[in-house]
Amino acid sequence: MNGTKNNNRILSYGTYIALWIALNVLTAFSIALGGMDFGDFNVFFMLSISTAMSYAVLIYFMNVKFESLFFKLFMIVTTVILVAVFSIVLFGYNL
Amino acid sequence: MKKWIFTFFELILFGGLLIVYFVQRLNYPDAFKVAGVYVNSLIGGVNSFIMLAVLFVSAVSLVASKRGNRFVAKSLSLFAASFAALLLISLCVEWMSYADGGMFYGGEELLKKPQGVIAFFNVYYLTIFIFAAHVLWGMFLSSVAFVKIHVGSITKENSGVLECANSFWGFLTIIWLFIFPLFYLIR
Repeated sequence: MNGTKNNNRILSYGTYIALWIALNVLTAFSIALGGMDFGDFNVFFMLSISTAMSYAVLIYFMNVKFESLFFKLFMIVTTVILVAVFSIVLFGYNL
Repeated sequence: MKKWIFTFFELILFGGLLIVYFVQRLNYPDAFKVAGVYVNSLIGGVNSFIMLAVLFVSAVSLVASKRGNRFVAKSLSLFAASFAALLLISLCVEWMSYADGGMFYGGEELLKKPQGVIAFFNVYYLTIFIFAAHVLWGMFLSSVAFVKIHVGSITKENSGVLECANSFWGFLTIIWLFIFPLFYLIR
């Protein structure tokens, strides 16, 4: 597998450097976006960027990439529950 | 597996705080847009880059340890703890700037503001305080990892606390990735 040492379940230095640069660029992009006015879409745009960055952190930096399928399913279920709780709260406010 | 159980409990804690944020935002939509002007988004941006630096050095430290490069692993663990200290200093500087302007928790200027702005700062201080306490804990974990690599109890085969520190910084970064836009950028 490219950039991966299967025996130790680790990524290469280069992969981490590339990911770190990408995360910094996306953070700078978020800050630039913060200075613009897209109305209510600002929340949507910024939380979308945060979600994409969180996904990269979770999969590569927290090494979920190497976890079992059962564990990945467990994480998906937890995320769905969290989103459901958020949705119930927000719909309670007629949003 | 223990680290993941801990992470899920932490997720419940910060998830609860985010729900409080959204409920208050829906209660005071206009005030929350105004309140964003009072927070220092420049320092918030700097904190984001420091947080990403902690994450990066912590992850690379784990890779170095698993490859048997003790010196690099040890040095980067020390860097992680140092960057965490820098993050705490940055948060203190930010809070002191609010205190100077009377905008600290219970401050005179803050209490003169509309109820929604006070609500924003209450949620802000609570969230950032709990976040800062976690940064302190992460700094401790990275310091312990540094010592354990130094004495040789963290090896190529057994990453132990170094792996915990790495996951912990990953989790905290994810939390910050949501705190930063919600409190500092969205107006």
